[in-house]
Amino acid sequence: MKYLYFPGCSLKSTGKPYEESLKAVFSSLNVPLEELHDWNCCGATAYMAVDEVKSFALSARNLALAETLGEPAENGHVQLVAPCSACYALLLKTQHYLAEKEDIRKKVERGLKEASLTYEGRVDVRHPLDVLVNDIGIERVKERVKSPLGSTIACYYGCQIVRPYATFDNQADPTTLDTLMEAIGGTPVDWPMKTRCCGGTLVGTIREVGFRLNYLILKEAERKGADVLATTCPLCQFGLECFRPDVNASFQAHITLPVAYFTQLVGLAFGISEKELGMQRLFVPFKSASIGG
Amino acid sequence: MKLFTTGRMALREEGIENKEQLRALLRGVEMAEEEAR
Repeated sequence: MKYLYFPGCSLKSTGKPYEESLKAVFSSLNVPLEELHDWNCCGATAYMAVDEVKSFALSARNLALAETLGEPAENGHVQLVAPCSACYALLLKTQHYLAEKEDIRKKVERGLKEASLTYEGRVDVRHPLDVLVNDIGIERVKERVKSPLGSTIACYYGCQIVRPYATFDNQADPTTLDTLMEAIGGTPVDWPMKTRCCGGTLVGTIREVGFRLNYLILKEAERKGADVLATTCPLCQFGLECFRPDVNASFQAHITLPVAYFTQLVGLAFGISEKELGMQRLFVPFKSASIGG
Repeated sequence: MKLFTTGRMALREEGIENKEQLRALLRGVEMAEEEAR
């Protein structure tokens, strides 16, 4: 089955190692991943706060393009992979609002019509974690492992990929990432911060609040003995890693925990080169236990 | 970045191939909102 890929702006900029490792892992599993042609920024939460209907229209254009350009799966729906948590959540939110809010749907449909586009709801928005665990399957992942990770991992789902619209995991206590990390030879820690918000853009607006939310997650992961925090979101990765000096200074802490994309960890276990996975782009370096970390 | 948005609704269309389609989309939404008023 061929998957369409919606990178969103982050995976072309601050989240580049996420894109690099995602492509490398899918390629290693012989799963085709084709970038959606002429996609546009989803607008994330910023645009939604400015103009809700136009924000839905921007996401609807991406869904319409996917429906036209993608190859339908067995269920008749195009499978659109959105790795960024904000893009993923917003694409799902758009689908829900178009289905449930007639006034919004009519306005968005008018926009699509003016743009000579149509969207009939035949797109499944998928997170790569969902695809890896539920489509490709844990057994196929295990077969591909060459260097079991051997590290203790804090699996961090963030606040957007399992709620409020996703259905592939338990919203209160998700386990798919834990299962995947176990499959590649990691040991997930049992911790209560899996879905706690990292603060996202608060580190750029109300910094002290953003730093505190970052600190709570990092501190707990370290207290539980994690060697690395595995993230599924480019904004979480950016916040939890790039503001480390500020977070440490704010709380008189000395946290040195690396924050890696889950796809980077899968790639390491597959024996893919660190460069291909963008490991050199991490500000806090990580070496898996199996390769001398 | 393919499309940059700001708090003042300014749109930059960098990287978008079919800019006219994007403009038409937003224009269509505006027309629908105008008619709904």
